[in-house]
Amino acid sequence: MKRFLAKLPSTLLAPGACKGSAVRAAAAALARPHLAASCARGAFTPVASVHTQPAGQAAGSSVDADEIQRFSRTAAEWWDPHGQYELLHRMNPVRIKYVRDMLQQFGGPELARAEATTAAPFAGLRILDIGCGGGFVSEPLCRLGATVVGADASNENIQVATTHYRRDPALARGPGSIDYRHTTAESLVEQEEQFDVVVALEIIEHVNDPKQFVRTCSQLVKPEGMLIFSTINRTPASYLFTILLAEHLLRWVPVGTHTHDKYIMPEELELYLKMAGCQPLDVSGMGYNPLLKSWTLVSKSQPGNLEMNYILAARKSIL
Amino acid sequence: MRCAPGGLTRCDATSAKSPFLANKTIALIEAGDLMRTPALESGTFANRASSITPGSARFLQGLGVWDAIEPKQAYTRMVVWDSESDGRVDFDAYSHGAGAAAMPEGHGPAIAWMVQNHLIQHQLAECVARTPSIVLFNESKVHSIVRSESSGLPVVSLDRGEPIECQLLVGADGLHSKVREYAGIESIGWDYDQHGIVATLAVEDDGTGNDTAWQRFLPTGPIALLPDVQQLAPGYSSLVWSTKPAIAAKLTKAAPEVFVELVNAAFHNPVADIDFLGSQVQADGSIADGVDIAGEASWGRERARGQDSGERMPPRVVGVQPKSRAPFPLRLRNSTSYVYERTALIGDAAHTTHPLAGQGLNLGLADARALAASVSDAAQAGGDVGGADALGAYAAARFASGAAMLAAADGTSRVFGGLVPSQLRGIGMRLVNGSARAKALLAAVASA
Ligand SMILES: Cc1cc2nc3c(=O)[nH]c(=O)nc-3n(C[C@H](O)[C@H](O)[C@H](O)COP(=O)(O)OP(=O)(O)OC[C@H]3O[C@@H](n4cnc5c(N)ncnc54)[C@H](O)[C@@H]3O)c2cc1C
Repeated sequence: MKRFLAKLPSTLLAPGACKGSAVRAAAAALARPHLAASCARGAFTPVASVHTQPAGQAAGSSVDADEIQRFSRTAAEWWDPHGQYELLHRMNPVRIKYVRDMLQQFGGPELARAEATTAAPFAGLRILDIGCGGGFVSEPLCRLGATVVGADASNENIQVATTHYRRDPALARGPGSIDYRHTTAESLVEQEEQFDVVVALEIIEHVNDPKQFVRTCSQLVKPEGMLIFSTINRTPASYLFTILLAEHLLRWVPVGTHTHDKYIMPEELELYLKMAGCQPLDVSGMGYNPLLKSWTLVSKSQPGNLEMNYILAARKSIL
Repeated sequence: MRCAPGGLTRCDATSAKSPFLANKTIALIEAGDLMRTPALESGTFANRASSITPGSARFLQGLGVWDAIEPKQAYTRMVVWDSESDGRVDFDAYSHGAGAAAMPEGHGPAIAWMVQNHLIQHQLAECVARTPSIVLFNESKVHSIVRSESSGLPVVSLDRGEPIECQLLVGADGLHSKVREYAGIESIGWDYDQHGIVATLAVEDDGTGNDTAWQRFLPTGPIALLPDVQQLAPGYSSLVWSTKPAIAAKLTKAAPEVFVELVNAAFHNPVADIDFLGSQVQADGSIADGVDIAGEASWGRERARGQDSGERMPPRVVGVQPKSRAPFPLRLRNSTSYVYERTALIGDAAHTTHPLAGQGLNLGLADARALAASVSDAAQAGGDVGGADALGAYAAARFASGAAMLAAADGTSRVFGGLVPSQLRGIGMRLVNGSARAKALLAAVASA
């Protein structure tokens, strides 16, 4: 503990100066309990050992009316903009815009589709949302035209996401679509699934073997395709705010939601990607502004910009 | 599908062009006939002009309609003074105004432009017609709105045809908004004990090019003279006179030459003269026997000449356009919220302001612009156009400024409009005059 405090940058300890960061970090911590929930059900712990039903059956038709009612209620909680996942909701615009920007900036001819437009830039692209939870990321990707596979190892999450997806007729009209599957990244590899883009947002810090997880994700991407990861850095600041403050002192989220050891540094993630034959393209910090209640990318010139939450893009090499 | 019933401001919300929204369809529902050029009868709203601020003008320019609206009459000065003190604010766009960047392209500094309402409406209707993603339900009345149980989407039924289910329902349907009723949003406010009288006046050419907006605070309420813009005839001004309902009734009925004298008196004579002249007009608009209104008024001005400050004064009014006089009640209304599940209110449906600030249309256009931006932002990030993100951003952008504008219009009318003793009013006016910040505030209102 003392060791962590000693390492803290002085700006974070200075009274006053630390306020914004505190809220930001606590926000980051709060954005995560759903993952704790899905992990508790064995979502990605350990990824390789989760044996689930094959895709397709999970979201099956055998679900009875009571179940549907229950999933609708849970879906309402998941999607309540002011509910427990408010911070995750608010994180969505910056994450999705990042995917847009990265594809526009670095997506070569392999990712260029004739049917893409400004309104539907992902039209014709097959995108995997791994750890899709209630569908926060899958739905925007679908609205932007993508053919999405949303995968989650929690059956309840898949039911919730499917229920919510069916509520909005605009999503059904296309050009995008979502295929929610109760499955794991490993199973998808076994099934020899291939995607133009794989997004793994706020998930890698919850898996047991991140290096293996990165490799698995990379196997799901076509050559010249893209991977996007977002997560929290392992720094004294992130320990202080996401675990000490948010879990132990303020009890905003249950103790044990996070395991600080599992947080991953950008350098580590970049290394795992390179080991898996991927080329990192960009890494950007994400910060929460409590006044505007919105997340934005932190300028690369700002010291400590990667101290807390960050998002990263990489390209799968041809070889 | 988005859906928007409504009037003048409505056209803008729906036709705001964003490439991020290119795959959305907009249903535009209008009870009246949007495409018909109105008969330009005197006294009709269509034949009246509105003052368009630079912000609104830039928005209209972005939609490709501003440059097609001709003629426009710019005004670059605004003079506000008090009848019972020496308080006077003389504001000009060249020395105090917003920078060139705030102006629409191709225009020098101005406080605002006077534009005929029917021309704005016509150009926006043309814009609607050439925008394929807008489906116009013309001369169609919204009959009922219900919330779909299965999807939570609003379902709008018209007086004929199939019901329309939409992702986002925009209520631009004016003061008695059906959309607001559907959303269960309360509209709170009050009616002022004042009526406004509007009229189109012929004014003497004083060689200044009719470039100034004039406003004088009288104990009974403010009177304002704005440059007007008529299709072919120069030398017109537009009057907005707020006063006690009983006086407003008399003014509406008085003979044209009497009305003209009373307007001139209201701008140029001491308050005692105005009270006296007003009292000589009977309830039916006729004049007490043997009273020479014109003579009394000019005698009063002669007598007051000693106190003449030498400041520039409004041009003399020489005539009133037949049938252009119309009274209307003044009210202030603000909705307790501008948004609801998949629903947004804009324009008069959201708020109605005292016309003192002349901001009704401009506020509505600013709402439309903010809503379009919020919806476009949400769409760019793959968000639901009727979702909480988009609507939250719109409400955050507009609720505070709507309420602030209303409070400002109401505050000024309460300070200056006869609700406080004249002494205080004088002090208020002197404060305004003395304070650069107050002037800047005035400028902000004028160029919102
Ligand atoms: C006398 C007077 C003078 C004014 N002068 C000025 C001025 O100089 N400058 C200024 O900025 N503002 C002025 N205003 C205010 C300005 O007119 C309003 O703020 C502006 O018109 C508001 O536009 P809107 O589109 O929100 O509502 P409205 O103009 O009221 O339009 C509402 C529209 O909705 C339609 N509608 C309503 N119900 C239904 C339904 N059930 N189904 C289908 N359609 C429906 C109506 O047909 C109408 O077209 C003045 C107002 C008045 C009364």
